[in-house]
Amino acid sequence: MGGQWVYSTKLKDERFSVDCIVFFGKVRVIQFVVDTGAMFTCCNYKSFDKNLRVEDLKGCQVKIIGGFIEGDGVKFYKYRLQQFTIGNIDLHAQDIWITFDKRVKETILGMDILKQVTFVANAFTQEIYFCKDKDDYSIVNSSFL
Amino acid sequence: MLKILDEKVMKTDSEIRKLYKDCKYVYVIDSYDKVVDDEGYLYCVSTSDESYDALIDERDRLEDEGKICVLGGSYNNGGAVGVQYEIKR
Repeated sequence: MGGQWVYSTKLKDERFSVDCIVFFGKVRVIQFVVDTGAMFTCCNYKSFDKNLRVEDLKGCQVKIIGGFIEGDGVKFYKYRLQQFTIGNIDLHAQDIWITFDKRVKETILGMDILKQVTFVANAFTQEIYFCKDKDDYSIVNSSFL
Repeated sequence: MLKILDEKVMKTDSEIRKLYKDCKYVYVIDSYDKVVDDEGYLYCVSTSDESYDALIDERDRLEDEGKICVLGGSYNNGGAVGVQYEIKR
């Protein structure tokens, strides 16, 4: 794929996962499961910073989100990242939702962030393509023809 | 259990997933530009969530040494994530 800003990744274990570079004072590379059925991008705090404490997030917006643990809601805190990059596509500052609940260990890329980027899945290559803008989308789209 | 492998031969993320199903792992990449390549040097594998903290400790230790780590994989292939919904209080 020739687009400068096109990022693609292959289907693995019947899921798409993407490597994201996050910046919140520290830079980290974390793999997120692409979940178009998820409203929110969320993860366990330790994926980002094991030294983070609940008290550090005093005043942050809180949500109780179901669907992680059977029959149980999980408390998440809104957490501002200074930069969020899917592969090589910079989405600038983003809010994600982090939990201190030990039962949640997965990192989910939800529609709150996904809706800001164009992505296309190709059944023939078993890849998902993320495009920065309409020019990149044109490149991806034309390659499907 | 946490397995320290410190591999010197590069593997793709797909290869790592096939070898270590339902595990979380840390692999090392040479630069942030290499994130898009989806491959690196596998350093350690956490086979269950009991060793998740140890995995994070290893990732942090490597980063303190100046290495660039990718935290990847999943316990239970995505962790039995259902459809999310917000519970209004």
